[in-house]
Amino acid sequence: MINIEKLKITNIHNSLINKEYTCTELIQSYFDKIQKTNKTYNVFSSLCEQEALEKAKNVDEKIDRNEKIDLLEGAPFSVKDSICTIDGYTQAGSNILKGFKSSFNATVIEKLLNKGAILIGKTNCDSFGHGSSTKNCDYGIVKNPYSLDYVAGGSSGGAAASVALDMCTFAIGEDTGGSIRQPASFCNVYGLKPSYGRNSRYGAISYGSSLDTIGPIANNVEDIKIIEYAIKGVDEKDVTTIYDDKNKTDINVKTIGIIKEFINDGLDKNIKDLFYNRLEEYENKGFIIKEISMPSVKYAIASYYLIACSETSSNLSRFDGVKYGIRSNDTKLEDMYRNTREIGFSFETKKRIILGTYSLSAGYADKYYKKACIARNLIKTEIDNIFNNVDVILAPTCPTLPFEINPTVALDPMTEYLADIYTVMPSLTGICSLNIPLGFINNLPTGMQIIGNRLEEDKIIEFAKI
Amino acid sequence: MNKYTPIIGLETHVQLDTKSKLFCSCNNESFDAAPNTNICPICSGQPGTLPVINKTAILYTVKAGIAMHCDINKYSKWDRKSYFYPDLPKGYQISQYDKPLCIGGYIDILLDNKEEKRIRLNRIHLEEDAGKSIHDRSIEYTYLDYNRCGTPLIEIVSEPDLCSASEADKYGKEIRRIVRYLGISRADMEKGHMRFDINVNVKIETDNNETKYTPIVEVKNLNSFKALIKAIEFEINRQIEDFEKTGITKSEKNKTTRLWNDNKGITSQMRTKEEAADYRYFPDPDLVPIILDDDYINNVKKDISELPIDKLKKYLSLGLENNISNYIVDNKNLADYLDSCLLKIGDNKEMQKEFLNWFGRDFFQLLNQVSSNDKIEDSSVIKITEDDFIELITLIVNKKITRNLAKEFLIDMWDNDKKLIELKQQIPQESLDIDQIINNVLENNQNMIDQYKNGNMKVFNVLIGLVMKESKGLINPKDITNKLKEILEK
Repeated sequence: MINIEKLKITNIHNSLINKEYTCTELIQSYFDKIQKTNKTYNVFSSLCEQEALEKAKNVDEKIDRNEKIDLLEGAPFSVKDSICTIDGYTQAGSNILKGFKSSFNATVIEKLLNKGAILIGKTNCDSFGHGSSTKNCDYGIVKNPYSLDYVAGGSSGGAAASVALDMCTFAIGEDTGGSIRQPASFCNVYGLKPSYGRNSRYGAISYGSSLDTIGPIANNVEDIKIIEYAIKGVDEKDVTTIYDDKNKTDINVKTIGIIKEFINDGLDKNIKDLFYNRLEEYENKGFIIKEISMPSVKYAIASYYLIACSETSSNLSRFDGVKYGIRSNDTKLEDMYRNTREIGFSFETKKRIILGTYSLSAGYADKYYKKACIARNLIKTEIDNIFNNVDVILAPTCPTLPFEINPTVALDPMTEYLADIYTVMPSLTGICSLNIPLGFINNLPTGMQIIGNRLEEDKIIEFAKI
Repeated sequence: MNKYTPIIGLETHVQLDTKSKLFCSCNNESFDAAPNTNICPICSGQPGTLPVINKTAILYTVKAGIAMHCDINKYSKWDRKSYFYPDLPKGYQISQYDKPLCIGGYIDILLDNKEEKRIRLNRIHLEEDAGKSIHDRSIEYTYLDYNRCGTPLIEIVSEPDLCSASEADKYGKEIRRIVRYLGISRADMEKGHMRFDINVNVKIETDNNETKYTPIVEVKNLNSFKALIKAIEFEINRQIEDFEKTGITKSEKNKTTRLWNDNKGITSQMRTKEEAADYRYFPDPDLVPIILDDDYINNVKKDISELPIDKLKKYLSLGLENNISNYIVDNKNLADYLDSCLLKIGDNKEMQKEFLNWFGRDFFQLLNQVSSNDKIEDSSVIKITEDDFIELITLIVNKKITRNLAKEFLIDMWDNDKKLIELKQQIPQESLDIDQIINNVLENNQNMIDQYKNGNMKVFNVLIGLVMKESKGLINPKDITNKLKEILEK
């Protein structure tokens, strides 16, 4: 029996080449763990056990032939259900794509597979990324690895939980407004939202195209770095990818910025204390802490939800029952459209489609969608100025602890949207942000973001190691 | 009596002849392909796919824009036009809304009275085509063919400057000529490479000097010139009749869309439900704006040669007949051939005149044998090389060969693939010296000279006949007459 607890990619690599265990044994150990825990936590929506074991056998044969293997070769990983893979299903957490199999792998997945990493399954998420708790997942809610009464966060809740529960070594998630960072913070793991355009979006089922990013979730920052290096880069299939010319920029951090407007009554007092304790540690290590003001951040939530919902209302038009996924039995076209989307989409997805359709409608676009874009530009300008004065920004990831699955008082939807306040700012501005564990409060984990300027992933990753 | 003036604007969709589709690498030519065999995850709107722009389609649109005198936008962008229809796989069409590639511009057309009329353009933008819904295969089902999805189209939007079906026809045909000249579309109507949407209403000037307008009607998807003409004519008459009956005039709210029924030759009102559309345009976040610089635009400009209308005017001024000139302009292969010949001939007016005579008459007769339809598919149907043709004309002008023999050569070259170099050997060498032949004939017929000088004019014709006979008919009778007169009256 292999101890797979908190295994790092380099551990696996060394163990494999030193023949401490075979890749087949390794993969089997993970599937044993999944077998034991998945029912309880509802992490995976589909598994690729047979394919994974076959690939493990190939890795073993390579090792037997004394062939060189890549660092990632044999490392088992999970993929969020909203990212296309040939193996397993790609259902985006939505009933409308029930049983859907993609004919291609997302570019980042293809890169990992080419390096020999082994896909073991697809993880549950809020349908189309619409949510921050996986309550909106049509395949059931993902439970928090630290307490079954709480959510794992979302939308990449399954991805974060799969890592926290040692069901895989690392996970690939997708972050539009916090969907990697927030569940990572709820599950006490590391999660990177890369700069917009650094990693290809090709194969990620779009939620908000101008905000969507694919990134890694792992148990440690070293693995985050290895995975991000494996998946980043310009992709000719995604014209919004950008050339990373900041490889050689100074990764040293001297000044840390704290956004004044983030520290308010909405922030849980215990989280605030943990956050300030951590700041003190950095200060003691010689970093300069600067309080900065970002007045435009008050528009962030409204701007984010208008843009994300507008884009999603358009992105989800293709799910009409005509070409793939489920279709209602109606014989009249309009009835078929209506009923397919009625039974196929979750309540939250429908809500966001309606909101976005309204925001883009003639007579309202100026008031909502276009105004949201103006606010977004304002926020971008402010963030540019801020990075002239500080090297990184630190912020809590979520103002609250993980939500209760069955709260005594139902959570107001606005409160849930407002909880995204710290994560949407980096999304709107296209900069990078890494969640690192901050500590525990009442046995529930919480996290902190290290936010870097556009394409400064190296800087925030190195800072996270301190 | 009321005076009626139709006001017509056209939206012309032209399929670009690029190798691949607008946003994916699928083959752009699907005419003979079985349904849904020419598709990929991108153009069939599979989850997770993203569009990648075809740069050639942008180049072709800029070419069209320059040829049609538009301003080229250095910054243009892509927008999504949303509506649900089964043959639209993404639920939106990627098009250009407020920043199209080309703005303004105009197309000149030549009216029947040889007057030129300028039709102003509003814009030209680039967009993707949808698939095809096939309704007539089954009562129960609609079949869908996505092969056409993602095919690049340019939409050329005119201002309402057209006043008749005939003008619209000429305008449409001018567009067809231009895009064929530019090599950006085959503009084959039968294959659906060109389609028209028309906006029609009628201006009414009453006896008491009032000006009124009938409600604007849009008729969509006319896919032949015949349909274009008929639909416009039908709409004009219908609107005038309607106005005379009801007196209803144009307002902000009464613009309607009608459908053309090709079999019945009528337009009919669409259900209002089908009309109510809010396309919710917004910039496509999956694509980046198109940025063009002056170098790019200037390079495209350099690449564009003489336009069809200018060629037409040139041929007419050279004295070619109207229908022949139009035919040549419509067939770029032929126009290229003619222009190249004219270039080689240069300023020699005598050569030019002789050449154009032959080109417009004998050459065209031969061409008509092989190409009875309105289009010359490729230049291989022209069987005579430019150089052979010009050399033949040179022989004629230099009187080295008679026109009769030249015509025989021309036919032989065309029909039997003969080259002039072989045929030239048939030119009787001795016959070329006209003086020698005449002198020989005269020497042997001294008595006729005497008779002629004594006033017997009839012998003159006998002498001509003898010279003709001697020259085996290779010398032009007119030349013989002149020469003979010259000698006899010395």
